[in-house]
Amino acid sequence: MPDKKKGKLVHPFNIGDIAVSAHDVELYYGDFHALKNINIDFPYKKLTAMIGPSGCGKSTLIKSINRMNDLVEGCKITGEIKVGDTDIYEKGMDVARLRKNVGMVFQRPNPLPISIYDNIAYGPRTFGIRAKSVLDGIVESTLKGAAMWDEVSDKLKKPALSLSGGQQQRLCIARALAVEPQILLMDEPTSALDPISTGKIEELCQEIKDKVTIIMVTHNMQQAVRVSDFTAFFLLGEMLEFGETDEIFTSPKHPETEKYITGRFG
Amino acid sequence: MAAQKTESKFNKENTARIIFFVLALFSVIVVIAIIGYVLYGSIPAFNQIGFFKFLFGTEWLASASSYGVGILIVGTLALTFTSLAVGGFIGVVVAVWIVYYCPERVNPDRVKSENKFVRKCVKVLSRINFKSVFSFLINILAGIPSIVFGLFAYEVVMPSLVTVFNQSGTGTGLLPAAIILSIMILPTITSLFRNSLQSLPDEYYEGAIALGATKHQAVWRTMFPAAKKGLVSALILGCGRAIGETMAVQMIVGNGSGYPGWFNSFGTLTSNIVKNWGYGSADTLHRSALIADAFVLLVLVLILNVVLLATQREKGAGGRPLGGVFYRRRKDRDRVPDTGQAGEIAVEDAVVLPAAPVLEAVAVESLYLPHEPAAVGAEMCVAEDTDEDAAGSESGVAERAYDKKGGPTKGWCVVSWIFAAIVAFILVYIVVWVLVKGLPNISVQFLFGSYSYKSPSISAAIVSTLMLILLALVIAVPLGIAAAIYFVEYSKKGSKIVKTIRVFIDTLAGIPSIIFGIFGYIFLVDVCGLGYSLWAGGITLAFMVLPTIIRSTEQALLDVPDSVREASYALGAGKVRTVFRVVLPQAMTGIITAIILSIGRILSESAALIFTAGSSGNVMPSGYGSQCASLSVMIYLFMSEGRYFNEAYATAAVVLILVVILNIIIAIIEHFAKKRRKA
Repeated sequence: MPDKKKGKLVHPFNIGDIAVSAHDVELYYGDFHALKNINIDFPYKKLTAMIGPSGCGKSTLIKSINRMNDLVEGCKITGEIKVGDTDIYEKGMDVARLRKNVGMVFQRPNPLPISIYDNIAYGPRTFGIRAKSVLDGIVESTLKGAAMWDEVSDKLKKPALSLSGGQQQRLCIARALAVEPQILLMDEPTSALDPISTGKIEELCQEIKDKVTIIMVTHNMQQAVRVSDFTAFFLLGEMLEFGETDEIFTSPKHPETEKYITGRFG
Repeated sequence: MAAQKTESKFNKENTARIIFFVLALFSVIVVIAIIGYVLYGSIPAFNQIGFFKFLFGTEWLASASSYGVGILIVGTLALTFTSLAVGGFIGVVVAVWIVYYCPERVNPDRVKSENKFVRKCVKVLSRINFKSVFSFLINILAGIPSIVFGLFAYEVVMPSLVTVFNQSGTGTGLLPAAIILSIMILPTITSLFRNSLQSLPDEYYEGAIALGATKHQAVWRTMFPAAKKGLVSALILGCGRAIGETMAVQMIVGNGSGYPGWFNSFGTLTSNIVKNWGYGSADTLHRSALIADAFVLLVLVLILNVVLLATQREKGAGGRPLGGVFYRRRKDRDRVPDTGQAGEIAVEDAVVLPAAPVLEAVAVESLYLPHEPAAVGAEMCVAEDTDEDAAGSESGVAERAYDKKGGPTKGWCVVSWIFAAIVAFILVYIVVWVLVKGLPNISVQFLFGSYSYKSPSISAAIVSTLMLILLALVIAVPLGIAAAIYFVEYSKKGSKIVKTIRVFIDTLAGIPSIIFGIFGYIFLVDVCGLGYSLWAGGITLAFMVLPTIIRSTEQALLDVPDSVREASYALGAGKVRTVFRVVLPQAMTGIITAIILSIGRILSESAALIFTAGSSGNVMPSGYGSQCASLSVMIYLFMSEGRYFNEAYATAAVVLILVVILNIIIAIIEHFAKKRRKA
């Protein structure tokens, strides 16, 4: 029986300079070849943006990193994806441990249809923390960390769905942070939001960047420039270019990258 | 340490999967047991009488030990097809009316009258959603116990037919039976076909309108043919309902030995069993012959099921995910129905659009509107018409399709309004009639007093009904929810085993209640030695409502968006936790609705109970070992005793009020669920 206050012991991954690395990754949905020979190293405690036109495989890659692709039938993956020094597709991998340490924020806000408090507490409770005092502390510190505490402290018992779209998305980020992940995956986190909410989320990303590695898929070139340290460009299932954001946007090496970031296709 | 954890987690998830799977298999076992035991019970009859002699014999005469079901099969088929022709036709048209013509609300601004009273009435009316009200009426019609239909036929329909057609006698025969049975199967057909229409993509309709079709053309030439699969399924299921109908039919057909005629007393497979069951004691040839009669009925129903399966077979990948008309597609969901679990995840990388749905839909139209004068012209699909028109074609056909008033299809709109009015009138008439006849006879003594010969009471029946509902739900709800969880959350898409189990569940749903009764008698009463008892009755009812609970729960689980599951998985929660903490609570309103539907079904059931829970309603049950009639059975008993017609009406009124209340509860739950979804 896990301790009610500390919860289950879930080992973090042993991470050096490279948070996530992919080697020779090939991924198929049935017959569709979605990822072709992907090799990339995501630096630790940096924000890496993945850009590219729709259907280029960036969402697919991000979902492979916490194995959400397991839920897709007919999805086959070869090659190696490592979080720190652990191959996450090796046999006997504890997916719960992986997903605790590699959190995810989705394109559309998906708060659970329960209260704001319970949304934040869902993750910690999953890992065995039951003591109310501990949960209260986690909820408060998480919401403060996500700069939401002032907005919602007086309505923690209200349903999460009563929040606005932007607030819901920030709640989802806070919820992901509540289990103290080492890596946070964000799949177009602002594409369903208005500019003001987008701004708040970008700010939040900057604030949490020194605690957690962020990998973000975005369709918004300006966003990539604003928030990311590194940028990877994907096209038709292949990664064409990866480097520091300034470099990619000022002097792209690949002609396709240049075409894309200057808005000539995509 | 970490490795050990991994292992134990893995086991917990796997154990859950296996448990759910085993519980899902329960329906399969029940179906096999039903077929097996009913066949087993019929073997003596087949042996002693001879299979073909039994099947084709035209005489059922217990005194001469002559048993032939041939004439009963003729009776059943004649009655089924007559009522299917009438009830099916009206039911389908009414379904179209509900979906496309029934106004949602009255617009108060459109009423020009200055009269204050009129304005006030209109204002009140404008608050009512007529579509919901009419669907509600159809649900009530579906919930009326068949024995009440029998009572209505016996007291109202038959005497008036006798007067109108100048007949002598009581008026038993094919005509009144077909009229009543048409009304009884109508809700099944209407609601199933309505589901199919509602789950068609809006794009079909918009596409037709965008091509210049009028509303009537879009409805009758595009939407109606596009739902043809649902039409066939609805008719087959209506047919199954008609074949198995027992309690009303046995009161109307007269159960004579002749061939069916409009006013000829005849017998059907079902009426024969009920009428003769009491005469043959256990282990006699007569009893076995009656079980064999039920077996023939079962075979007919199984054949229908096979036909249904054949028509529902999906062509390619474009079909509906769960097969058939039992599942509605919710349009305000972002779920991709075909990909099951995959839903949102697969969207970005594998978007497959259905090819030219409008063209495909219109291409079959002419087959389904043979009555139309313009059928020849209508073969031209709407799309072609547009092209020709654009090219300046001189074709008169194209112009005809452009008739702004709606052209030849407008007549159907009028017909649908008339049919809808008739259905509403009949329903209201039945309900009001039962209440007017029954309410004055209800007293405290009648409801709660103890039974005496002079002043009978239904207190025992009320208690036994509650006990039956409790027992049936305690068995069926966990089994049904577990099976639904296995199908929606665990099974792989396109798995052969799941498809097979699903066939069995559909079969179970199609088995008439009288067969459940016979099975309950053979297996529970006899083989298990429970005797006529509430145990036997409750367990039989559990088998009966199981498919309803499985399907509704499945639907409720499917309605939970995948994004919610993803949210839970992404936080590291396992499947068991996700299902029980997130998915099930979200699906709760759907599950509660399923439970209430089941209660309604149990409340109105009588055929299955007569054979299992016994037919004595005057002694308060002392436990599940006692035998006792339920409320619906009580109506039958009061009537068949001949001297308690007032009490029969009173009991019918009680049951009807309960049915209405249950339906109101469902409507309220769905209203709030809808509101919450919108918010």
